[in-house]
Amino acid sequence: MTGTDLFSQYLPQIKGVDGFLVLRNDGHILAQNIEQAEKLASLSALSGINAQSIQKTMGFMPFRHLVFAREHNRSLIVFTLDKFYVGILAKTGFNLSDIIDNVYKFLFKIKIKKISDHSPKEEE
Amino acid sequence: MQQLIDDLKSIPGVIGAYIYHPNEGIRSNNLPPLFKTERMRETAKSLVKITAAGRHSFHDLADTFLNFEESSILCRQLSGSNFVIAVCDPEINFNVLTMSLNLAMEDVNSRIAAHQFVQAENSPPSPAPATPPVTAPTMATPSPSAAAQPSPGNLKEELDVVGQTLAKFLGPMAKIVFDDVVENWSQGRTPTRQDFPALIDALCQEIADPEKEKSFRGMVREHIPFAF
Repeated sequence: MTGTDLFSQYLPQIKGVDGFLVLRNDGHILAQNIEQAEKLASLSALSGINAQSIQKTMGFMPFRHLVFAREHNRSLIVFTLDKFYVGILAKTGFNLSDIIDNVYKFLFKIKIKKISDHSPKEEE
Repeated sequence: MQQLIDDLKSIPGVIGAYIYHPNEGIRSNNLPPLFKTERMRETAKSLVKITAAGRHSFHDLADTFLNFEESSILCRQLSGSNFVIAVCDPEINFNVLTMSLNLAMEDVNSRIAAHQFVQAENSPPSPAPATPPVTAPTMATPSPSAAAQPSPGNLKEELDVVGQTLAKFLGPMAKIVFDDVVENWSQGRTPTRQDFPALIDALCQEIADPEKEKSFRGMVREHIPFAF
């Protein structure tokens, strides 16, 4: 199973996730299941780049995620994962903190898988 | 604006905040000195870009929240192209923070309303308010005065001031309490200015905290001297 397959299979199953997109930091979409994906990919990439710029300016530790919070509509959460961004459209009425926690758990598993896939043992 | 960021700073987990205007730069600031002005300005520029991009896709965008490993930033666009930017601990509860910001903005608005009321009392009416109100785009709790029913006689403005002041002490419950007390207070008659002390006494009973009652009376007295 490829990395994008993992996202397509598991992200929609997370409670409160209405849609997702995975993109490179240049805005190129790798996987998505939402309308207007191009538009949201541009927004995700642009905001992610600016967030990382703030990180450098302020001397903060690494950027993790950002939230475009809306009152009565789906909020957009953008996570950073190495040189990729993962955008999540959150269903209205769900606790954003819970969704963020659950997506982090999934991203953590992805990182672990990536490390194990590239471990010397497996390469042998 | 200073009051708004001071209120924000009093929220646990908020390190400090500042108000930024794209043309005028940083207008108010209460962040610790280790946050250098030039860096704050650069950060604000990036946040303005992020917010502008967000609004391009979401016309109802309320807040932008950035999370870093050891800190987080909340950015909200206010009226008049001002932005309030709060620097917080990374684990701060986003919902609590936005709700606190809404309440702080209501507080500022009630002060503005009270100030304008006093100005209107002391001077001829002007065509436009001197200070634009600060808008709270998310989860705004209605001001008790805004829906104060009934609004006896021609005392609506005074009741607005009292209701908004009460909201500072009772929060979201203020609307319910205020409406009930005003209804009882005005039952069977049309209250006049001379009846205000009775209203204030009844509201103080609802506050039920001697220190808060004292503060409440002081704030009302500041704007409506005849209430005592």
